[in-house]
Amino acid sequence: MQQARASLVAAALVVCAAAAFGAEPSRAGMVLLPAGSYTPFLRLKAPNASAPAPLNVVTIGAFSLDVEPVTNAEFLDFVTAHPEWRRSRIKPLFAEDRYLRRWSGDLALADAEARNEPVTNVSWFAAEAYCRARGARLPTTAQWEYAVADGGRDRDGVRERSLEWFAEPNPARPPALGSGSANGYGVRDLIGLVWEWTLDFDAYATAAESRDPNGKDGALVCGGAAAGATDPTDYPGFMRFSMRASLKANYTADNVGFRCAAGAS
Amino acid sequence: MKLRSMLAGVALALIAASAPAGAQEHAGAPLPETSLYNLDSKWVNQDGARIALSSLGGKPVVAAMGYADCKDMCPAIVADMMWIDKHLPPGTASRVKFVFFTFDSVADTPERLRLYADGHGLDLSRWMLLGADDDAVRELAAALDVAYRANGAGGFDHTAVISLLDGKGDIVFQQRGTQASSDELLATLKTLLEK
Repeated sequence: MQQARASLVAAALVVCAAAAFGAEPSRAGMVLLPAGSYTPFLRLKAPNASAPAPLNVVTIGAFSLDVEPVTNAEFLDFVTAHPEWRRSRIKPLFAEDRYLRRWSGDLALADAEARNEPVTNVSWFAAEAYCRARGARLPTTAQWEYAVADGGRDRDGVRERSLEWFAEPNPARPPALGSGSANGYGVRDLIGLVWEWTLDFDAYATAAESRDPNGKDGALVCGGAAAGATDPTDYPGFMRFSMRASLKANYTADNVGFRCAAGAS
Repeated sequence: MKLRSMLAGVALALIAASAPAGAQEHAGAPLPETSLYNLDSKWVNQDGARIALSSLGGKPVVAAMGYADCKDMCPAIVADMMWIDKHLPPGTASRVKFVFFTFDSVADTPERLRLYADGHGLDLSRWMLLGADDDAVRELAAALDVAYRANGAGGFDHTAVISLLDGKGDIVFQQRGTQASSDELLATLKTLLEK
């Protein structure tokens, strides 16, 4: 996987060479984020080529977000209570065959250290089922990006650490929780441990009424990086949108985990 | 270059995901674990009748997602489905179902879906228009690999995907994009009908 992240970065560089839940926290480990707004990395496609692409500012209601990604220990409790999500029982419709592959058995983690590491190799279906069982949801992409944007605090530092993380080889297993400091909202480890599922992970892979023959919007890259991006210098933002757009809901990647949200979406 | 194809390479390197093994089909056997009909979501059709996804089984299904007020892409999707319908081998029409799932859990009431069907002259003995709550829609879209989001102007941005399901609910072919030919989907459907 060392080469995987490097090749992801390289591929993106090549591509872009041109250019109803309560808002109260329901878990000790959640924090409440205030209402605000968020401008997605990508502009909506203009109705016609000559019109300027509109900025699609998204209004964000106050919502709660897990301070940390969900751990193996927490996910173990979930599959213990919900047998249909165990490794031996999961249907391939919901997760392909790398599901929970780092575990040593249906109800056994690799070792004690794994308890405090983020769970990985979980599909969107499994992540969403976990959050629902907790009375929560996966955060929307807008909520997640709003959390990492942190109201503009330490923007350059976050981008720098993101790039450093992208450039590192993937470790054999993800780092344990708590290696990063909390941001201004009190949220930790949004970058540096694992990529994270969002409720609408591929929503921004669409363009308004797109007639793209591939069904996804080619204008997001190359010329799009300059013309379609709201901030062409936000390379980590581009990477996150590209990563999410490449996922399918039953994928179970080694470096994708999740956290849950509650409240307005 | 297209984002999708560029990203496919990226995704393969990053994820090294493997395709699920194909499920074996046996008459009377339980659903394949890959079947879409493992989703237990509940839907309501254009006549207000409650429909479980699994009740669609037994015949090949040509399925797509859209919404009634969609001005551009959805008419093209439905037109493609109607083209497939029109080019079925003689005598096989009753052996195929056509299902249109709406993203719009609020505006697309059964009455509105009925109007939509009538407006397009769809034969409701073989066509079905289904709506459900947002959770069911999101889950189905995930399973069908249809990307969508509310566009903030009362509509939805979404990808154009027409899926062919076999009688057990396995996705056997997907046509992507409104400029794609439906020839390959039709040919695959004919193969299913010959089995």
